[in-house]
Amino acid sequence: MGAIASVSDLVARMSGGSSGTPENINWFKSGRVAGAAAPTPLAGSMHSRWLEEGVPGHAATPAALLHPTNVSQGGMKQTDPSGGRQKWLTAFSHLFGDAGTILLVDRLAQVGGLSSSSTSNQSIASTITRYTNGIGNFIWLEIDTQPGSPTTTTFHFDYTDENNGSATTYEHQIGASNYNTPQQILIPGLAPIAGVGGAGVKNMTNFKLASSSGTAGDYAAVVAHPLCFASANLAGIMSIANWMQGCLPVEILTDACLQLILFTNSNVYAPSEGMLSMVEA
Amino acid sequence: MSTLINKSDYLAKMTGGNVQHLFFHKLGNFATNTAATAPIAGLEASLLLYAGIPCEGVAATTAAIPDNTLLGSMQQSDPSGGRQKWLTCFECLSKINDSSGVGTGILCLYDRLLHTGSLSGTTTTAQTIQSSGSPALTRYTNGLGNQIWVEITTQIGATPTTITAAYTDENNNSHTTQAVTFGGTSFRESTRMIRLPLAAGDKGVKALASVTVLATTGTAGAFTAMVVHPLAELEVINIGILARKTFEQGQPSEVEILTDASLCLSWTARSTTIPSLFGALHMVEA
Repeated sequence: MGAIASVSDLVARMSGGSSGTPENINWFKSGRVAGAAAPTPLAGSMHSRWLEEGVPGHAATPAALLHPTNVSQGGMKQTDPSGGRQKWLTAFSHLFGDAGTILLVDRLAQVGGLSSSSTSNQSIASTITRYTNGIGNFIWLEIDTQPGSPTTTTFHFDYTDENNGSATTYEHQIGASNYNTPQQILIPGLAPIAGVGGAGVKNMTNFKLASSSGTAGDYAAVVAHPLCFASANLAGIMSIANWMQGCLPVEILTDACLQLILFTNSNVYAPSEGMLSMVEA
Repeated sequence: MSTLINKSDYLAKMTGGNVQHLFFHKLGNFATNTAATAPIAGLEASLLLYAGIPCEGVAATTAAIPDNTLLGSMQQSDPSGGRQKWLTCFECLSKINDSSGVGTGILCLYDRLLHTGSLSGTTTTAQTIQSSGSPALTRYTNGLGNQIWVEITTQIGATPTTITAAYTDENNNSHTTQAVTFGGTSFRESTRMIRLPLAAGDKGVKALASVTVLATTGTAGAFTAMVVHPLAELEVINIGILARKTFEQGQPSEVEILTDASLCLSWTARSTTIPSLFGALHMVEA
């Protein structure tokens, strides 16, 4: 395990020297889910690209508890570092058919098949295997199948915070027009316990709706760790986040499941593509 | 303690284990799942009470020196091993809020050095902030670049008046700030942040003795008086589009995050749309 010693060392590793094992993954998302155009998003909303078809291929709709890894469908499927080295993301680019921003995250745990109508605690018990101190981990809800007859209500998660406290997120709206689009991500605020905490998530425990949000919907609870943004300021214009901008390198942990999240600029859900550039050190 | 020497040194330290990529999310809601108070176009608002990740804070009460454990702050880790911590990148985008709006504006990152809350909008005598200089500042103690802000945490009255503060400048002189509007529309609402201009020639604040509301605003409400040190500003100009300030490129030069720094956010809105923000601070030790 080691650091990238210098710019010269980086150049050497990026060209295969010093056991750099460079890896460049060109990813592509088609703007289509389950064989059809992705639903029209709201401008400024946050969407999971987990189920969106492309290269590497899309995931199956989440079901029972899964701790996704680098071999999971839906992720970027990068190789793990070898020889005791660490893997570093040195650049991340994004070209979109509209304006918007991509966020790369490590997807740590997921539980799908959550009912949109049950008002009981729905167990989402998990034990994450990366970023296990919980700091900086987010918990969110993904709408996999939009419920019928949507009704405005709220939901919350029970979770274990970074101090091993049993916490409950604040209530977050769901079912209303702003909160009912397939692939949309809803993130409730974390809560402090006795004046401390609120900075991360170790494990999730329960998902609970205050009242029915509609019929036959399907939600997934996810714990994830954000890694890097790449913006696309205009349609058809590529932008690159790179190590010279101060946001990278960031470590890609062994077995990391690299997932893409989209922040939309308008109500357009378009294809996009980009590149992940990584080296080992 | 050392600096980042060059690009190679930066790379070595960013991959050397003492780095923090801290992502934050401000929801545009208070913890009660009610929408935050709408900002006022062109005026500054505090995001301390916004729910999110890290979680929201609570209104200050007695005089205190906030640190990196303050609820509502970024809760970053302290540098270790005698090193210094440097902000290498500050980035943020604006996303949709509960009312279908997406706010744009200027995001300011500041270190909250001292605060005293539970101050009244109806008391017209001097309200004590530091008593005989206590508690004393523990960061930026030479005062240079420090500012005095007031943060309204419970709406004060509808009658406009002015507010001033008695402070010690960077040269240990006792001065009073210039009077600014306090109370009345746009200067009374919860989360409003108002900066107080220093006396002519002053460049900073070492201590804050008291604040004085010239005449009653009509409602006590509650507000907090603070000494702060602004660190970085970021223009979040478009919906869902990342704004990034890359200190490695010298725009501006890298900013040190002092040990125990209480990193908080303020927002100067372009409109009355409540902001919901997702961003990150990237920091490295050297």
